[in-house]
Amino acid sequence: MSAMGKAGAALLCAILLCAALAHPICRALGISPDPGPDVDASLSRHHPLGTDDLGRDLLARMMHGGQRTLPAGLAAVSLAALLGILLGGTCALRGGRLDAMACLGIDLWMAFPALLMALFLAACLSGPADGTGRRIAILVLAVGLVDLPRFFRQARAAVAAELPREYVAASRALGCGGVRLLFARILPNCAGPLVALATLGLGTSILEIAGLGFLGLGVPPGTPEWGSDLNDYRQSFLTRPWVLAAAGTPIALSVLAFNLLGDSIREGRGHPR
Amino acid sequence: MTRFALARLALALPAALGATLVVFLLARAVPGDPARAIAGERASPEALARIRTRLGLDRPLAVQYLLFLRGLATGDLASTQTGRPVRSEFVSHAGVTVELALCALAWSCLAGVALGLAAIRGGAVDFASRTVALAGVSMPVFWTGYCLLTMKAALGLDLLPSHGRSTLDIPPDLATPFFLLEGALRGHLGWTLDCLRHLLLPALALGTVPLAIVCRMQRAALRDAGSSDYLRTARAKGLSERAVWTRHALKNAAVPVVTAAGTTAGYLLGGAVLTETVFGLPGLGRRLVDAIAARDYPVLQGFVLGSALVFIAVNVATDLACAALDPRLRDALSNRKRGAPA
Repeated sequence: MSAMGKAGAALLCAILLCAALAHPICRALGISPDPGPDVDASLSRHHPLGTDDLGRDLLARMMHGGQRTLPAGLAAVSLAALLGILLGGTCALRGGRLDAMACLGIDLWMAFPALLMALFLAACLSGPADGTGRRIAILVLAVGLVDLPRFFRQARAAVAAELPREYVAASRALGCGGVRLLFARILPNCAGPLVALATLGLGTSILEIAGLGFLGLGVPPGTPEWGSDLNDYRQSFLTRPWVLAAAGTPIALSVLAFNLLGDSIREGRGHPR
Repeated sequence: MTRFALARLALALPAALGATLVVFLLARAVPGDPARAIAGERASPEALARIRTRLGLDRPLAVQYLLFLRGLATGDLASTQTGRPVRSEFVSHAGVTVELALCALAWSCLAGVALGLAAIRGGAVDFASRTVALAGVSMPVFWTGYCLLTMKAALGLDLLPSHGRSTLDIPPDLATPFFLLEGALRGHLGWTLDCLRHLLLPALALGTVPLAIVCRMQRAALRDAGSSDYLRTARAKGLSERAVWTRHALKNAAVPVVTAAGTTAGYLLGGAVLTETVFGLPGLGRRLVDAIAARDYPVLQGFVLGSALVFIAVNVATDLACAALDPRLRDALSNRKRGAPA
């Protein structure tokens, strides 16, 4: 792995650890993402990044927000990858009318700008009384569906390139077919580009989920989430600039880490930047 | 070229029709009763039945689709929030969004090409261009916008407005929704300059991702061109290194850059929603956000469809531009196979 890839992996590990251990870290520091008495506090030893207008510690909200944004991004990419690889691989294997219809459908789906379609889906599926779980599920579904075409096209091309190889003919001669041929034989031989695409896709999905949260389609008010917090705090950026850093830096660093890692994986597969 | 252009336009028509079908089916597939969404939770069954009859929801699905197409074409599809036809709402709000997207694309392409050219030398400049590209795709556009506003306030740059489209009294009954164009055509350059002043910061924010994409594409294309035979021939003929790159390599490296610029259209349309929210621009994005809050589904459908049609048109323009730059691509684009890696 290149030096940039290692840096990305290290950064990602640090972010994941902070998110996973948010509760014990906040307890050790004596800070909380919940409303408290110190309203609009500036940077201090007790509140390293200050508090908001409800007394909620910004560092605590930053760490707890990662517990929603990061898993949501991972779930969205997983959904897109699973459906895209299954559909694309099957179309490459079967060919014919199924392949033609699926490609036509994917081409139509790609005619829509991704964020706008995700916004449309999220707006249509969500309601004002939805809880955090349902809101996050809707975000995952919306972002996963708009990211599906990239995995479909990559999987279809990768599987189609493998089909003329001897091991595929040998597997078929031994009676291996369908899903088993696809997942047990072909995909392991062409997983590299798909892994690189998934890693890069994690950064894109986090940006999309944060963007939808910023537009008010994320978690309910009060629940820590990176995009929603940026929306909540936008009135205070000019008077308290460090709030801007607290709200947006986690998103930028996460996406940067995934991009560094994805680029490193892609370079390792022979696709120079 | 004319035959290629006509064939490409002919391919775009079924795509546009397909987009209307996708939006129609999605709207029908969404859970919930559209009539109840309009009339409210306490509406009587008679009121719901009247709304369903008015909207054609009691007709077969194929008839509903035809009514939907007719509504789009005649302007009958109306906003439940303002009562105005969705088509006229789209046109009136599209002006500032298109101006914002074009400004963002223009500066990002110029800067991206310049950075890509400078990066050929390698070393610190190459490292700087890769860093700029990486930072551009990593930062959320709404965060970049707020960072610019904070920097503007800190540096005291009061000449750059932080919100709105114009501070001048521009009449609302212009022929087009494009203030930049109207100012130039009517001799009111003050309008054009004022609108450009308002678009500067939003365009800077929105253009960071296209800058990264164009810079990366240009750098890769020039690097590939650097080892090609035609450049070796140009050097053997005695051309200066500057002439080799600007007169020969740049034109051949322009095709991937034009393609990259075209593919960012989807990002620009989506990013404009976020940028307009940050800078208070009265464009499609702001109207869409208001429609989401008010559950104005006709506007949601119309704007998403309109954006898809704009995206399809930009893809057609990109293909035509690439074919004009490199005639060898006309056959390749005509016979393009589906399923090329993203």
